[in-house]
Amino acid sequence: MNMIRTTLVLVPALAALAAGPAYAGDIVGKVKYAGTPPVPAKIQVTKDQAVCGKAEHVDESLIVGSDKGLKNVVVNIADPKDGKKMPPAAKKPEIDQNGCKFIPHVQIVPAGQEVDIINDDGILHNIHTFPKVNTPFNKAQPKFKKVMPGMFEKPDVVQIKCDVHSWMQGWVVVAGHPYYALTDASGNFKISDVPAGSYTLEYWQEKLGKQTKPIAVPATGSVTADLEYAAK
Amino acid sequence: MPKLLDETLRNMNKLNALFAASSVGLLLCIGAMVYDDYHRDWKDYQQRFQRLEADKTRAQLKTAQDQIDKTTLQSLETQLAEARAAAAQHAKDLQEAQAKLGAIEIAAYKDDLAYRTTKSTFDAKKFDYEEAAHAGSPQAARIAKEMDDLQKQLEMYRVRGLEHDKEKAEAQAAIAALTGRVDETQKKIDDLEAGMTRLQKKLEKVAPSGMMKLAIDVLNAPLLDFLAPTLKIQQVVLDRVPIDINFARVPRADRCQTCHLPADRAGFEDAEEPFRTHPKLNLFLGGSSPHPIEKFGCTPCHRGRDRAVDFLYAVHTPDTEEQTKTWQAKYGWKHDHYWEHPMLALSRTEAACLKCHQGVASVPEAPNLNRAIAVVDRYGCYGCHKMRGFENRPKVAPILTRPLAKLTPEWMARWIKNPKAFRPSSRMPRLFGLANNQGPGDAAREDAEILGIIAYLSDKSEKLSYPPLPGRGDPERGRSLVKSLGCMGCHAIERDEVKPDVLRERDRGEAPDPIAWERRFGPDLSRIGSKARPEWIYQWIQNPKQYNPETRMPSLRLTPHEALDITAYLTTLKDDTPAPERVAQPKPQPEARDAALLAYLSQRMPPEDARAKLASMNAGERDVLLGERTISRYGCFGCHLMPGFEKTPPIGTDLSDEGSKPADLLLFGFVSIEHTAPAWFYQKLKDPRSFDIGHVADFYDRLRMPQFNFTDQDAAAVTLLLQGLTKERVPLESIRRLSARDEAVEAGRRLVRDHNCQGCHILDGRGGAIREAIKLNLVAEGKSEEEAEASAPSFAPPIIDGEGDKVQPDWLFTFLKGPTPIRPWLQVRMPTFGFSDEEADTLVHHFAAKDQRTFPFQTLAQTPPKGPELQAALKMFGPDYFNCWNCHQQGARKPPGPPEGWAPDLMLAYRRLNADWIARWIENPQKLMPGTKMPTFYDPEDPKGSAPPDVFGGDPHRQIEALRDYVFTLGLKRGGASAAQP
Repeated sequence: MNMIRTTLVLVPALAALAAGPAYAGDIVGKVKYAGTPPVPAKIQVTKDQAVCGKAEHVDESLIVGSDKGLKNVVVNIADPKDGKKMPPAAKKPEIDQNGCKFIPHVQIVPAGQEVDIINDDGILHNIHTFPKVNTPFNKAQPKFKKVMPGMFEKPDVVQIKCDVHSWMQGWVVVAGHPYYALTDASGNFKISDVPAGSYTLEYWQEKLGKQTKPIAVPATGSVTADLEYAAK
Repeated sequence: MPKLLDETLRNMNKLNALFAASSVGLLLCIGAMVYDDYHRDWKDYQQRFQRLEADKTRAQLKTAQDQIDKTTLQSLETQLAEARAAAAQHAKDLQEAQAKLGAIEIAAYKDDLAYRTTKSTFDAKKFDYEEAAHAGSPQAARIAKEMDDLQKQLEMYRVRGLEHDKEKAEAQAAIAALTGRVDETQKKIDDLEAGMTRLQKKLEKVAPSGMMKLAIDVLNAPLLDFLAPTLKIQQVVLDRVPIDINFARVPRADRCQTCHLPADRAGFEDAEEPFRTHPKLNLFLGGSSPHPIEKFGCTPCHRGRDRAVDFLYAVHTPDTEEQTKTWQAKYGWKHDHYWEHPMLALSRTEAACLKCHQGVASVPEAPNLNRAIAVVDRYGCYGCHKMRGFENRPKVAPILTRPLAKLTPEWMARWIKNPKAFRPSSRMPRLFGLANNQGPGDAAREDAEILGIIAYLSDKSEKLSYPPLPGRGDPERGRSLVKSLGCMGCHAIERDEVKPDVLRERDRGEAPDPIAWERRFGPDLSRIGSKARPEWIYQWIQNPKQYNPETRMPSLRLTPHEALDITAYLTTLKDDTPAPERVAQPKPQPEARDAALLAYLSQRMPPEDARAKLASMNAGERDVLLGERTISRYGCFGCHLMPGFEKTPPIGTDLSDEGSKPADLLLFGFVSIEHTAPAWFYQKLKDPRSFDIGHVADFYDRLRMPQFNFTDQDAAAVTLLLQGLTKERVPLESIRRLSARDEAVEAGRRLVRDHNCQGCHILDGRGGAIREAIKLNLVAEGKSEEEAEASAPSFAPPIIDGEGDKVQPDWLFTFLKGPTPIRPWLQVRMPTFGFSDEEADTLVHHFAAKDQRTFPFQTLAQTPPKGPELQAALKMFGPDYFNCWNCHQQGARKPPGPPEGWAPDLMLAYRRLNADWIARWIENPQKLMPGTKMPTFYDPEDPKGSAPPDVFGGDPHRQIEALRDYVFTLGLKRGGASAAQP
């Protein structure tokens, strides 16, 4: 009888301990593309040459760096168990329209945080979102409106386009929890402070789509996840 | 023992005992009769409901009590006590003030009485004076003087009355000052408890106690309950929807609410039947609904016996097998053959809508019925069967007046043998090789019949052949045209779009058709290259009405070059069925043919004559004759226009009153299904020849209805519709009559359905089926699934909800008659349907009526902006502001960049758009057309903050007005203020 009582007290206490940061690990890894790295196609600038034609435009939908590393892949945990929300970024996220490109091409934004939509070009742009769960918007941003607010309420993968300049495309990945990472130019990523346990790791690339892989996160240290997309 | 007297034959004591016993027995009998008469199921239901309602009210009361803020109530009660205590201290003052008020009221009453008496005396004097003055009597002067005196008295009393009023008000104010706080606090407490008090009152009513309960028990007691019982039969008498009982039409007396007590009252949505609120109270039964209970009752829709107050006697009909079992166990339920209008199973109640909602394209809120109407329309059931509400509908299948210009005889033979084998989604039913023609010799005879049909068509049809193709098209370009021009709004190529295993599942009847209903308007094109001759395709797609003047296929205004490419592509779509699985080619069967022909001929002439007649014909003539007889028997002309059968009446049973047919008039054969009409209808639709199995009949006497391969859902829907086609006739005042506006909307809806507008456009929130095909095409062109999904709407034909609001009637009329491109970025083309003036007018009126616009004339106030307005508009149009010309076409001046990025020509706005719509569009385009490429310039949540600050001081309204006036007059000729004629 006493034993049971002790156990009853101990279990929640242990659970509380397990949830603490002391039992959290990192996920590090690299996303590779197995196929032949494509030569990014050049994009014809068909409008507003004076502003848009200054820099060269290339297709950014599949960029493979050194050692087959794949850029702009969003890696995240599909099933976090601690219920944490993604904290607002210290610096307000920005969607910059510069030289008729969305910069950055892919970014992760916390759900519910206001973002600044910036028009550095001084010509008419419009930011047209194609969300799956959020409410779509299509806002014009003429020259006199250098900065506009925008907001994505719920976790989502949102394509953004400019109808004035049809080649302009970008992606905003709206994160509901902190365990998200974006691969760098050589395909590396790191998700920090993940509570120990087994998860499904999800990785998404705009052209190659979504894939998953199970992963076990240790109580300390890090686990390496090498992810790969087959050739398309 | 008393001695037996002469007068008595029997022992009196024994007799006394016998009489005593029998009278006791009789009394008991009467008691039992009274009890039996008194004890009714419905009373139990009513008592159960009373308990339910009492429990519910108690629960509500408890919630209300819990909801009251205890602390507020307590503080109010303290305040009340304080106020009362304070008032008590001034009790003497109050007494004095009340006494003073009393004195004033007495004085006022006296003076008022005096005033009235004097007034009547004065009026009498006035009459005397008038009489005297008229007669010229000397008395007149004296009376006038008396009147003057009375007048003065009157004035005195009047003034006194006013003074009393003032004093009274002052006295009342003095009292209020003393008691006001008490009253005020009491009122606050009452307000707080108002909900509770109301519920308490209600509870007293629904669950009486004490003397009240006793009184009610007495009123409901046996033998006394004829006076004013509270448990009583509830009925509504409905003379607007009478019931037909053996040729007599009598008003219905619906007594359903005797048990279904709260059917028309909200608040019992979750209760057990029969105590549940009607689930659609704002559509049915509710006082403000279109079908209030006093006018429509229950049985006009649900059917059943109106006067019944017993579960079985009301002829309830179970909806599922499970319910049947429950009812059998609980009520001893079985089919009641003695009532001709059994209740409709719950899922088929929509059938009843038809008798009042007649001749409409759809009935609001009746999805199953609407599905059935659509199915009947598509499959053309009315081609063989007369059906009320489907009169004068066009034949649904292609004309067969010159089929050989389009098809080869070999293909035709295999097609007729089993159309579903070549095209599983075809609506052409299968006539041959069915269950009742599986005997020895049937297969050979059917082959002969098929070849006979082809011989007949070849013999009688118009000889027409098309010239060879002018060259060779590019199939790849053709493919792209077929997928992008809009063909896919009405046609599908399922082989390209859907995985084979999904199709196989559909073919086995295990899954619904994966292609949207709207895209089944025209035939599936998967194997069209094995069906139609290329020369025919080339001509047909350019001008469908040339081959078939009745076709619904519109013209897409193809150039000969485009037509050639499309022909090249369609020709590549060959039948890919492996040879062993294909339908065997019917072979000539001279013996079977002659035997069948002889059977036919012998029906009308002696056998020797028949044989002689047969002998006089050559083989070709025999084929043609057998073909003609076969066509007559199967009624092919119900759907196809065929030479020689232009005026032949349809062959099927008249279904106009089918829903009233009792089950014993239907032949169930040896099929083991429930012997009810709906079960028979369903079986007939799913397996029409099954009722023949086991019967012995000559081939020409067997059942003829072909196999349509209806899905379970469609067969159930059509069953429902058939149940609705009854001989019930409702008086004119109960038939739904449409207002002129509704009539205009309805007429347009029929055209929308007949031309499948919703294949491409979203209208009434439905349709836009082509979007799925556009998405697939974008994926085929290399876009990712996500991207295709997101951008399909911008390549789709526009949403045309609100079109009446948007465009001018004149323009719409012209556009419908001869479409011109509006959206240069769209590859999809609005077809030329060849609308008559009347049809185009009907459609324009439809859109105007839907958006409550005037039709057909309207004022166009087109004043070009001047001065500051013009300056503002030009400025906002400029590159630093909205940069409109960066996307919008300006007459001949095209915007920069590729056409995908262009937007409509604003020079056309003056004759296309409505001015107020332009303003609303500029204000928030996403609201009018979600997903449009036109961006929002004015943030709907902050129009002022997002407007250009240096135009009209940043006033969005003035800016939008200036833009509207500018856009609305852009295309006008300079100097002219009136609109140019379209």
